[in-house]
Amino acid sequence: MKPKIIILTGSYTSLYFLFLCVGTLLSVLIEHSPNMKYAPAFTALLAGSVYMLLIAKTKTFGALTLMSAVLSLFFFLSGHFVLSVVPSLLCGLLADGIARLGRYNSRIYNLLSYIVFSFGNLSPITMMWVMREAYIQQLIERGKDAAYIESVMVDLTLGNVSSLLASIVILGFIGGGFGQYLVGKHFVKAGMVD
Amino acid sequence: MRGYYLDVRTKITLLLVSNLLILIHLPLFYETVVLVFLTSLLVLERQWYRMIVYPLIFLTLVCLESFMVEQAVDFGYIAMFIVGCRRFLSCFILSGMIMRSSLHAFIVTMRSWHIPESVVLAVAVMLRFLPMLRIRYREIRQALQTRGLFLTVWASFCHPIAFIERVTLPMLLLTTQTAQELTIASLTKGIGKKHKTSYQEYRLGWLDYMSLFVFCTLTLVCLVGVAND
Repeated sequence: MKPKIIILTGSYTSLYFLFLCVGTLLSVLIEHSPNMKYAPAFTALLAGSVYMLLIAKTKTFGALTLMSAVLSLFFFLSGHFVLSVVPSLLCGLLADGIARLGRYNSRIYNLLSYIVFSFGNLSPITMMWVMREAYIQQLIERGKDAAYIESVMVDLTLGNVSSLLASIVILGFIGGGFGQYLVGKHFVKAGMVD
Repeated sequence: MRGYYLDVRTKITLLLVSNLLILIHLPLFYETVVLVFLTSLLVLERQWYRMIVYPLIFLTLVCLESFMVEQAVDFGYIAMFIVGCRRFLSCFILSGMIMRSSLHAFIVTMRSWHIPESVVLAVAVMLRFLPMLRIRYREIRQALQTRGLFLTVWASFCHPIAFIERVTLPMLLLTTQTAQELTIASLTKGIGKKHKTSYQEYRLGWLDYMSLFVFCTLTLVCLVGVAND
């Protein structure tokens, strides 16, 4: 990869990271809950323009994978669970592959790629799974019975998981579409991208 | 007197080992021992503020958790979050130490571990851009307020799409512009060259080996202790 593309990817990743932080904050404020489970969905709503501009500027296989690799590394170094690196990286690679199928020009493929990429942001939430186990263990150590634990914990039911995934798809679709609109309206017209 | 700074490689290895500790359910005693050890590393780096804050956070979390569980106060996710934060505190301490290391040491370390050059470069650029984004955001907000737009936080909540568009676009433009300048500067400095040299050499000192040895032994003791329990 050319240094120009790497530097562009690094700089857009910092912006993406900023939107990730804002998305997480929004999730906590709107849900009134510290579990941050809708953080990937809110990030998908906000960061579409960054993602679409990166695709439009680079149009090279590897830029999106690199973005996910940098984000994963940053997650790990900022104290997130080490296993959260893997899903993020895989989603980045898959998103890159999908965008490549449309030669980075197809609106539909790029949108699909963005939604898949947004699923990678679920990986820091794996921390919540670890926390959940830790908390259950703590309750058992304190001699609490199964009925009490059941009443305290919110289970990962099919409904919960599907609402989580559906929120990413819907908000990712809106955010990605808005991103494409912004890039088309401002950057394409100004001749900054093709 | 300057503090002794642990090598970035040592810190990353310690972070990996502490990730292993998260996977097993450590009793409070072992968690306290790990915290004491990590706090002593902060003493080595002469980070006095953090050295006091982390044990205080730990104590607060233990007290809160004890209150919630003992009194059977049903806070659900909040209680879970408190327990989780306590478990992850060791990771947060180490990640704080990594983030406070010099960027040069970090890049040289990643190169010595044969991490792909593209990742090293992208991480370096990202770390350079992150502090700048806050300044840029303030400048954009000031410019918008000068034009009489979004004078209050409430106004930005009332028109979220317009706000996002008017903040995101200048950010994207400024980032693109800075990235172009940075590319030219980097190419001039020979960033594209395959062979890299470093004036400063980073070597593991006896304290690095000692910290690694102590933490690994501590982890083993914890593992054996938990298995016996």
